[in-house]
Parts: sequence; C-alpha cells; structure tokens
Amino acid sequence: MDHQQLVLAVRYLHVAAMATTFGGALLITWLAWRLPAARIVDVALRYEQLFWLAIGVLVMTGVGNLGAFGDGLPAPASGWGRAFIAKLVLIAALLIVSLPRSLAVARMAATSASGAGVRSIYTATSGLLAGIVALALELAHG
Amino acid sequence: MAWILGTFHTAAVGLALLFLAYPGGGLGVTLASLSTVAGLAIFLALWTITVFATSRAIRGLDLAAGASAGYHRRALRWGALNGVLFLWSFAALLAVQQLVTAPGTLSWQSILLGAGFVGGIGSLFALTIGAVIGLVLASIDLAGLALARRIG
Repeated sequence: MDHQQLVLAVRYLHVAAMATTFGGALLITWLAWRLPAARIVDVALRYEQLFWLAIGVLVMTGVGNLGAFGDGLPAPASGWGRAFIAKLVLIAALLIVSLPRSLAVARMAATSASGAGVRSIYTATSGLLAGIVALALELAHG
Repeated sequence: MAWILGTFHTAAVGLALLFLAYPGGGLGVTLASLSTVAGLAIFLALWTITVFATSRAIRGLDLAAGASAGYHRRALRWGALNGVLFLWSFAALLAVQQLVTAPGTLSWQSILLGAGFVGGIGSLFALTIGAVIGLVLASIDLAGLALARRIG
C-alpha cells in the first residue's frame, strides 16, 4: 500500500466511523422518543460500545488526516483554522455529553434505573454530531 | 465500563493535545515528521495502554452503583504507570520508524543514550504527568457518574 492509498484508507475509516456514530445516534434518538427507556436499553448499550470504538477511530484518523496536510496545515487565524477550532470545541462538548450518557445507559443495564433523561441526552448528542458533520463538510470543501 | 472510561480518557488526552498544539501553529510540522503508520501505531498504543490502565484502576469498584471509594488513589497509581508505559511505547515506535525508514542512520550509541534518557529522567517526568492526568480524569469520571445518576 503506497502513501496515497494509506491516506485514502485513513479518510475512509474517518468517514465510516462518523457515519456509524451519527447514524446510530439518530436511530437511538428516534427510538428514545417512541419507546419507554427500559425497552431501548439493550440496543443503546450496544450503541455505546460501538460509539466509543468509533470515537477512538475518529480521533486517531482525524489526527492522521491533519498529518496529511504536513507543513501546509492552514494557520489557526485563517477561515479554515477558525472552523477547525470550532469543530474541536464541538468534539469536546460531545465528549462531555457522551461520558454521562454512556455511564447512564450502563447503569440502566446494571440496575433498574428509570432512564428519565435519556431522550434529552440522545437528542443533544445527535445535535452536536450534526454540527460536527456540518463543520467537517466546510473543512473538506472550504 | 473500562472500555467507555478508557476510550474517553484516550480521546480527551488526544483532544487536549490538539487544543494545545494547533493554536501555536507548530502542529503541521510536528505531524509531518511522523509517518502515517507510526502516527496510527502511537495512537493505538496510547489507546490500548489507557484502556488497560483504566480497567485495572476500576477493578473491584462498582462505579455504576456509586461505590467509588479509593478511585482517586488508584487513578494516581495507574495514571502514573500509564504515562511511563506510553513513553516507552512512543520511544520504541519512533526508534522502529527510524530503523525502517532510514536504515543505518541510528547508531547503537544513540539507541543506548535514548534508552537511558527514556528510562531515567523521561520516566520520572512521564510518571508525574501520568499521575496528574490520572487524577484529573478520575475527577471528571466521578462528575460524569454523578450526572449519569441524574439522567437515569
């Protein structure tokens, strides 16, 4: 595999991991608004395991994508740089929201917790992911 | 639980490094000095070591039920070990990259000098940084658990 193929493979993994994360979040949000929390625990728990795998892959391949710029990485003061910093802020917010969400789902699976706030937190997760995808599109085409 | 917390810790550290490195403007040059394969291998090493250290730090604790006594002490110990193990992996992967991409440019004297530095002062530094990061992340974990109890 030459360098160009490797760069493409890293980008492919990045997009596939984001599709998994965002698509899964939309699905669980939809289920959370339609069904009682107790009925979505199993699927939500599987999503949380997959979510963190995808987050690890996203951070790893995201840094790989930045490395592909090399010396040509746009400056922080440029339009691209400002959009990139905004994306980092949204990713930080996603991590801050996702830790208690995943722990709440794990707790619901282990105990008989009600999961009263699950709808809101999955809705927030989907919203943050939608913002990250929008900024990623701007960065890719800007 | 170890998978969720360990990957959260890895992603949080990765993101914090990006926040520190990008605004200064040196990130592109730093990343360009690493091959793509070496960069991926270094991240995978960090991820694996962090999930392992987290699993050992929470072993025997029922965090979901709120039983977190001693978690900070464990996080200090395993965070310190995490830092040292990552430093050794990082140095070994850089040495392998150099040996593979530019054979003959790395002398035995350089390897021994580097190993001495990494095993001595470098390890002490990594031990301290790892312990501090472990403590900070343990506090964030406990805050996350408190919020999780409010969610469900």
